[in-house]
Amino acid sequence: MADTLYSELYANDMLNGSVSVLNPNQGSRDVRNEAEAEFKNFVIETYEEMYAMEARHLSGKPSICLFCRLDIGLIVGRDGTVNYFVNEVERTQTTSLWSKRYHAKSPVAPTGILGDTFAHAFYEWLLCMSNPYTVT
Amino acid sequence: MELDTLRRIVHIWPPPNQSRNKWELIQMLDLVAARRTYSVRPITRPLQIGDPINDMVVLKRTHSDMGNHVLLPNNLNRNWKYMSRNMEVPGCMWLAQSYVYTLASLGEWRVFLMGGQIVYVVHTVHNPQKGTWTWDVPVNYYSLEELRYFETHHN
Repeated sequence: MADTLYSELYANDMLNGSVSVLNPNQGSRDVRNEAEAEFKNFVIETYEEMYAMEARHLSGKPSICLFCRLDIGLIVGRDGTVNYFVNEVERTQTTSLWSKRYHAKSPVAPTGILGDTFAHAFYEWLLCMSNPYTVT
Repeated sequence: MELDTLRRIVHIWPPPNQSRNKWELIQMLDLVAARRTYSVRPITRPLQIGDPINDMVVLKRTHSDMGNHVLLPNNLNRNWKYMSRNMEVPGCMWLAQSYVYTLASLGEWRVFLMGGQIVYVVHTVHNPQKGTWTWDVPVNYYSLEELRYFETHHN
C-alpha cells in the first residue's frame, strides 16, 4: 500500500478538520477497483446469506429479492482490524431513498434508475407470485 | 376487513409475515457475519425491565422504525422510567448494543438492492450540532487495510 494514500487520509483530516472515508483521489485504478470490489463483495455476500436464511425459514421467496436497503458502517475489531458491518436493514415503503438534494454534495441522485429498476423487478415479482403453473 | 383476509384477495408488499423485529434481524446478521463474511459485529443483548444500563451502549427498542426509540450514550432518557413508558407495542423490548463510534464520526453507506443487484449507493454523515445530514454518492472507495491505518493513527 502506497504511503501517499496514508498521507492523503491524514491530510484530509488535518486540512478539513473532519474525517472523510469517501472518494479518495489518489491510488491506481487497480487499487480503487479492488477496494470497491471488497465493499461490494461484503454487501452481496451478506445479501445472499440473508436471502438463503429467510428462504429456508419461510419455505418461500423473501421480499428482499425485490427491494431492500443495507446500511453499512465500519467497526474496529479487538485485533485492530477494520470491518464492514450491517447496521440496519430496511425493506418497507418507509425506507428513505436519500434523494433530497438540499444537503447533498452530489448534484444528481440517480433515483430515475432506482425507479425504473424497481418497476421492472416489481413486475417480475408480481408475475412470479400470480403464476399458478410454476414453482419458481 | 382483517389484514389476513385482505391478503387472500390482493397482493400486499412487503408481505406482512416477512417483517422482522430488530432483535430477530440482529440475530440473523450475527449469524451471517459468523457463517459467511467472517466479520466483526457489535455485541447485542436483550434487556429486562430494571436491568442495569451500561453508559457505553446504545439502547434500541424493537418494533420501531425510522430511527425512533434509539438512545445514544449521552441521551437523558436512558432510564427505566422513560423506557418502560415507551413499550406500548405488545411484545416489544429494549436491546443494549455496543456503541460503534465510527457511525457518528465516519458515517455509513446506504446500499439499495433491487432484484438482487446493487442499484444505488449513497454515503451519509450526521451533523449532531446542526441536527442535519449530508450525503454524497461514492465514486471511489478506500480499502479496509487503508482504513485500518487511518483508524490506528487517529486514536
